[in-house]
Amino acid sequence: MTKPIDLMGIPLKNAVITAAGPWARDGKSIQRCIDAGAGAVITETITLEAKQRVSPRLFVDGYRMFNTMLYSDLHLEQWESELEQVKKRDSKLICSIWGSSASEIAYLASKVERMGADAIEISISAPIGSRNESVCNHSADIHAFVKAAVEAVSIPVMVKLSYEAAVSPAFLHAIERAGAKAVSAIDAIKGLRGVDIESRKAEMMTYGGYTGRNIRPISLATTAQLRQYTQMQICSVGGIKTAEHALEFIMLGATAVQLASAIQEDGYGVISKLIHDLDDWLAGHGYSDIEQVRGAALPSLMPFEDIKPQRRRAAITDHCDIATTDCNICINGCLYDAIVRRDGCIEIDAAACEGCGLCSSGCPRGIITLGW
Amino acid sequence: MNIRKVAEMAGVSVATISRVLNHPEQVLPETRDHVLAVMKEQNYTPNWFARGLNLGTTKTVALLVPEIESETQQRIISGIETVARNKGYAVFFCNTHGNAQIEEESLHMCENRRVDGIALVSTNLAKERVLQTRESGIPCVHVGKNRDSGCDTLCYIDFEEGAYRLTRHLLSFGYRSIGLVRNLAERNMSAQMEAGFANAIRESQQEIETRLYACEASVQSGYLFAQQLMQQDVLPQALITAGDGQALGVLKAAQDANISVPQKLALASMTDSPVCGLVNPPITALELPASKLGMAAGRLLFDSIENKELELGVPQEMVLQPKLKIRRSCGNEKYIYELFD
Ligand SMILES: Cc1cc2nc3c(=O)[nH]c(=O)nc-3n(C[C@H](O)[C@H](O)[C@H](O)COP(=O)(O)O)c2cc1C
Repeated sequence: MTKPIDLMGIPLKNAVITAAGPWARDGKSIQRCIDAGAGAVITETITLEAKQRVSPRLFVDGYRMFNTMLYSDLHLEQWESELEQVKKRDSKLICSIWGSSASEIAYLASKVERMGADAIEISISAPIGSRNESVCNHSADIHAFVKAAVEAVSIPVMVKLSYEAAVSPAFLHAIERAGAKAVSAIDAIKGLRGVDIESRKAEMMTYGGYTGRNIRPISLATTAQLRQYTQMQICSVGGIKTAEHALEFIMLGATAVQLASAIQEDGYGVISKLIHDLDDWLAGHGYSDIEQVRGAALPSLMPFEDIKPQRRRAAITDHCDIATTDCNICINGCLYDAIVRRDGCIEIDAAACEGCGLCSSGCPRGIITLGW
Repeated sequence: MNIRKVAEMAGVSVATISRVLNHPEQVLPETRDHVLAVMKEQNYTPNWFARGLNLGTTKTVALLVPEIESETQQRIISGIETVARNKGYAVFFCNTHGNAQIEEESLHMCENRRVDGIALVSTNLAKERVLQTRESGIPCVHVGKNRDSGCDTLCYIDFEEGAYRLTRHLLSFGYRSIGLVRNLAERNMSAQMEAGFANAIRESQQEIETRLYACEASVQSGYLFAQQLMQQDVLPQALITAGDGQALGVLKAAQDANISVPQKLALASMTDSPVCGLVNPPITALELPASKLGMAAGRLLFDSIENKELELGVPQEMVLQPKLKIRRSCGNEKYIYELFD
């Protein structure tokens, strides 16, 4: 077992949190997250007026997932009795809330504190619904908004950010000054699954939240950027499913990670598996504390401007016989005519090669290298 | 010993202790027994509870509304009723027709029936009168922005911000003369409308000709108002009405007089309703969070009722933001009626 972590002054038994969403929509589902071992569970977003569900609201296409769900459909009074039935044991409860004004969010914050929340996550930027719903479109107000929540309660407050909000230093500064202790990023990305060109209709009736593995690179970059912009702790969300993913985020400076679509895809078991694998990896590498790897990858990042323009050249390290494969990735992708096929085999013209790296990183057999 | 410490010792939330004291029937028996045992052990029994005062409640809250014809009022009522039902309370309902005499009589009835709390919607009652009711031990919440109602808690929709956004929307189409059609029966709303309207115009730093009008809430009044305006030949380029009824009346009058909306007259309403989306052109309007307002009022009221003895603070004021629903009556031609600030 690795050491507990500290999130906003709250000790968490592990760095794995379940994100706000329908997998934590009532007492029973929250209990499942807790029973699966999550360090903390974030509720589906609680509002003053329960939202009615639309149907359909989930659109899956292979591993691409879109949703048109906006917040919880339970009333505050129902949340009161749902949360009463939750046995937290050694897990923590974070209540996600949304409101249209500072006084509304302050009210909800004090309500959920009384219901036993250990911390609060304010949702400010869901991609679904009108622009107006997202407080992040009124950035002048965000300071007053977060401050109202912070002052209304004695538990810590974190803010859930969209990609756009997360990469705005001014916005982050306003949140930090308001007293938020951590940020969660990223919320779903606004997306449309596609257009049916025969019927000339969009495949979804409105914009959805695009989530899952495809948004992980965006979320990774956001975590690294957040680490540069702010002192607040970071809870990374976006396309996380495995312990390796979690470690990537932690090595970029995340304090904890959140699981969302992965639970929807694989069930609650994905939570315990990730926790178990994370422990194994750390133990296997001789670590007892996640702190030992936190931020470890950050020094390997540098500004683009600082990368020295040096030319490297591709070389092939093994025989690639076209007779055994119909792969043409390197040939098709070479804009410099440096790759040709001779006698059925791939040949690279070092003099013509510009060292762009497409063939070496794209070769499915990994037999092209980039050298001096 | 206080409620927070007891909660900590019992390993439950403050909300659960409050529920055991106020709504024991809604708490799981084992949780309830455990909490009561800890309370006893810690010698924490609020007097009113020990004396069985919570049993003396009538489980009724009263609601005084000035009218029940408009959809907005209906949704406020429905919101309050929803929360009351969640709490296991009945609602004693009084339509005061905006009449001071009936308001006074209704309040008197509420007191006689010993309701546990009263929600007053846009009341005209004297502050002293409401204070008297509160001093008799009945908590009151006011719905509408009136800080002088005698209630210590109030909730309202931010019409100032709404009017500001609506005016900015109109200004974005380049209109140079804009009229505001108020409903003087709604004093607080009118004041907020005027303030938001003026803010937007000042901020635009443009020479805008502004006019203030007033007419009653109905479609008929809106129709007559617009007819008069057209006869006087002083039609502004755009009108913002307080209510949807007025807007629909204006639209009908414009159509009857062959004045095209929005080309000759842009039109927007501070209150949305389903009909606004069905007429031609559909009317741009503010979607008011009316049922949420009712729910907020209900919750603030129950906070006062339940927390009265528990030393848990109650927020004084809650503001809710309306949404601007952009349709076609102001000049918008986009495909999606996207809502924005
Ligand atoms: C079906 C669904 C419902 C969601 N509901 C909420 C919500 O109520 N509140 C919230 O803050 N985020 C909500 N999210 C966003 C997730 O918490 C998370 O930020 C997002 O899905 C990105 O993570 P992922 O790629 O791991 O899914 C929801 C996501 C999904 C897929």
